[in-house]
Amino acid sequence: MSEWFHERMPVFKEVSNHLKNYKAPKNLNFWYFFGSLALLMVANQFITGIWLLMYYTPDASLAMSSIELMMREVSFGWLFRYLHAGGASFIFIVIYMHIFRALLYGSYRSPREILWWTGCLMLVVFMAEAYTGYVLPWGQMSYWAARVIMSLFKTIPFIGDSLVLFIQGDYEVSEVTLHRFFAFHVILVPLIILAFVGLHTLALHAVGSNNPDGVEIKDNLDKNGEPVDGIPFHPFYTVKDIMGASIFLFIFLSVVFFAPRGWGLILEPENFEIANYMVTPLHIKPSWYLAPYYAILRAIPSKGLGALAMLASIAVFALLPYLDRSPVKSMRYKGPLSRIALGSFVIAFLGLLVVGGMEVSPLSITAARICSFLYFGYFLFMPIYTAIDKHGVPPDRLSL
Amino acid sequence: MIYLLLICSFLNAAPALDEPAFSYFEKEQIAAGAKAFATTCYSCHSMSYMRSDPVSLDAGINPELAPVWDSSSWNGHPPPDLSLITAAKGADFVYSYLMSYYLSENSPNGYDNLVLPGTQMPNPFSVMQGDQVVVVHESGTKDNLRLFQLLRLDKKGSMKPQAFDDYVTSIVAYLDYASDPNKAYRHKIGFYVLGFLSIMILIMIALDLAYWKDIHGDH
Repeated sequence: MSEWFHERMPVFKEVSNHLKNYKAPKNLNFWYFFGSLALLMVANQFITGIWLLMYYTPDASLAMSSIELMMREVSFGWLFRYLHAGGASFIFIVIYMHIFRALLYGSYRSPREILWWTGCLMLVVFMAEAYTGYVLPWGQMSYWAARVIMSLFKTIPFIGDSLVLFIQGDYEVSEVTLHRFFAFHVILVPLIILAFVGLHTLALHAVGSNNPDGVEIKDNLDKNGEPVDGIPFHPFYTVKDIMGASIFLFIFLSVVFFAPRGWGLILEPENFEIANYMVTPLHIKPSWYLAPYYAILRAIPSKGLGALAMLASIAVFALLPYLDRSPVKSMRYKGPLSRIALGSFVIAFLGLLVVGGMEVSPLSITAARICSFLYFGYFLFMPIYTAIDKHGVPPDRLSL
Repeated sequence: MIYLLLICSFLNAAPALDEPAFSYFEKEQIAAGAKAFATTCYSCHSMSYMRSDPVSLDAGINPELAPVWDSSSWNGHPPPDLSLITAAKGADFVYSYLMSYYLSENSPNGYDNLVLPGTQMPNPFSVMQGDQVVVVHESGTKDNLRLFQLLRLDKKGSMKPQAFDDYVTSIVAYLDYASDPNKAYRHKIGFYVLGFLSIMILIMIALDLAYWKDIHGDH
């Protein structure tokens, strides 16, 4: 029976082949959990999202009450809502750790450029998904944050105004916008995410995982043509990833069950008030995971240039394969300059994250400018410091 | 002029908020709060997301009896729905707000509020609490001063101060419950969920070590 099926529909065979025959380096460490955790969180968002969709009404007068009544009157409705809202924040924690891993071990270097670019694009797509989802409860901050972001699109020369009109369907963010964002959030962007998850995995399987040593395992093949230091993904990394997922779920579900509002970071107090066109909140701030880019935007006095810098802060990641001139991939064998640069980049990113959520003051603007300089400095000076840095010599084979 | 500036700074400065002593596990306090809410608040404020909650229904908080306001009433600011008020403003804010009405000749309805100066809501507690007056400090500021330092009971009300405090606290406990009625249940099953995951983590670590024993060995 199973042969009969496989001959006609090889889907399960292909999947199991991919898992068993995919050879992963045997020295992958803690930082390599976050790829599979991102997949886990995407699955969480899809499943909980489908449940929310059964009760949510994309109508300005009903959006919030449909959510609140679901949380109170549907069995475990609150759980699905908190899993979905908290999941958004945790997806970004996971993605940022995943990106840091790539920076740390040089995973963006040849031959992984396309793998890296699919990831870069996916970051943008996730931001779009988070942003459109954030608007759906139609709270005060949903509405006013939506207006701020839409005003950024207006700074695009020539097409800005008509693009904004096309996206929001009205001259100002309104109920029509809510309907459109609902469509984007629920079908358009998720389809793109699914496609990118597929492409990202496909590219990964073509080039193979990088590892903490930054040494290609395909350079050391045994007589069968298999990498000496490679081990089958299944069962070795499936077992390890399930272990990582259990530990991650412990942390994630601790927040979901005991602090689902995430101390105002997951569900902001302002968003418990229904959107009011007449009352502007004193302090419009983005979700914490978009705060770094918002801080860069505010660090620059001109709105148009600020929006450009904001765009550049994300787009510049795509240039990394060409900016890094170091002969070694991994930070283990890179020199002190590269380490200092990555360290200052991380500090700058965290600094921007904090500053982006603060009110505008001379101090916060100065801090945002210093952090923005460090942030872009990591990329702009990379061809120089990686070229002159004193790098070590990586081993021929993986060090365990 | 200086006097005017002083008054302005006096109005803008914020007193420190008080923390109400309540727990979402105290069912009796919440039930008492629901009754207090029905008596004192429900004549003006709706509780629209609590449609089928037994605690609310027992207290007489029933959507069919909810007050309905035209959006142009109360000078365009009708009394808001209070289902999510503690989520939006915080329980400390709501409690301190309710506790800080004081006699004020300048206010149209005779009372003003320390936490929300110029509030539209008439003092709902003047009979129970009595009348408070503001104690003016030499520095002329309210910044970070506690409410008990700023307010003094001038005329006794029908309730003793402690009983009144309990009454307001119970209302806040009910409002906090209303903003997230599943909290107690969530905490209860949360421990089981984390307990299950703890065991799963231990098993998965053991399984991981068993699978990886040979890999770690041969290098």
